[in-house]
Amino acid sequence: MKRIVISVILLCVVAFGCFYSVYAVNDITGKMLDKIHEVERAFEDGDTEKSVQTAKELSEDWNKFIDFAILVNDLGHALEITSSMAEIHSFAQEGDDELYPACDRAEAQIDMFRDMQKPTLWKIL
Amino acid sequence: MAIVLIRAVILYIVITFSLRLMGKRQLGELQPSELVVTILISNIAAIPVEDSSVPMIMGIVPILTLVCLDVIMSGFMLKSPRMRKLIIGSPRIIISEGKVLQKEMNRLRYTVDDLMESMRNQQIFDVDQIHYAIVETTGKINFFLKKDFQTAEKQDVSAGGSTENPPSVIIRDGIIDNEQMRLLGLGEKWLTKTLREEKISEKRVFLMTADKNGKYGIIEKE
Repeated sequence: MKRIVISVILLCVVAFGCFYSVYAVNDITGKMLDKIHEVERAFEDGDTEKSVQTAKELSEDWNKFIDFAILVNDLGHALEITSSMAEIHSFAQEGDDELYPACDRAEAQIDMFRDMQKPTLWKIL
Repeated sequence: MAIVLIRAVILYIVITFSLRLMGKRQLGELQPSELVVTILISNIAAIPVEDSSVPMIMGIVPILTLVCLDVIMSGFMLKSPRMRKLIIGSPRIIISEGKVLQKEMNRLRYTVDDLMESMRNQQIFDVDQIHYAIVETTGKINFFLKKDFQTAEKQDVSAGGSTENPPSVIIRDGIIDNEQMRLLGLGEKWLTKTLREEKISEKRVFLMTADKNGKYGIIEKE
């Protein structure tokens, strides 16, 4: 009986962890996308200081998340996003127009990363 | 390489814990579901050890999930005979009253060679000696012999004698097993007295066994 109770608890913890990670990824990626738009807007408005600051926050927030993201699928993809975040920060500092394609690329990567976590039927099967 | 080493240690702990959670069944007695889980665990565990690009959690989560499901399933099977029958099946008779049930053997996909091999494993060399043969859910065949071929027991030859208690180990390598002492109902006083009589300290004992009647045996350390 003790084994069964331990198993039920363990299974609940594992299931909670797995589903919570889907929620957490959804939440953080939503915030990341908003921040990317903020960086783009600030850059468009010529507010370099704000765009650099937001890009820095973007990169730091993502790194913080990735340090604890032990239950996410496709960690390789997550590391690609890390480098895209660094690119955005670097282009914002330089005031380079390459920032726009970098932001678009990061958005696409984040969208895909978020999609990868959702347990939809085609991914399960 | 340090990563591989640490991963291997962690996975060893996780798998040992998982198999401990599954319980004490011998490999040959695994039910189909347990066999599946055991094979899957060994395969899943190998991936994160071999490939350091795969996160270890990708191995730990499915292992824990499979083991927990197996234990929960066995809990259900304990409570529900119908569930048990559905998951592990039920024993099947393939020889009934000395007659080989060929249809049943065909259904179980058992050949005559399988039957003969199982018979030989149990020192039976003639199918005519068998009264009943039952295929257990583990796949093992158990035989019940005809009366003429059964081994005589003490009661058949009217031999007396009381049931003896098997001896248990109470000191191993100088360390007293208090649990066994308690089960045997032998007090600490009895042990001290016995060791004093034998002129040996507990630290010098390699192995000491005793039964409930206080009959004991001692092997001294060399």
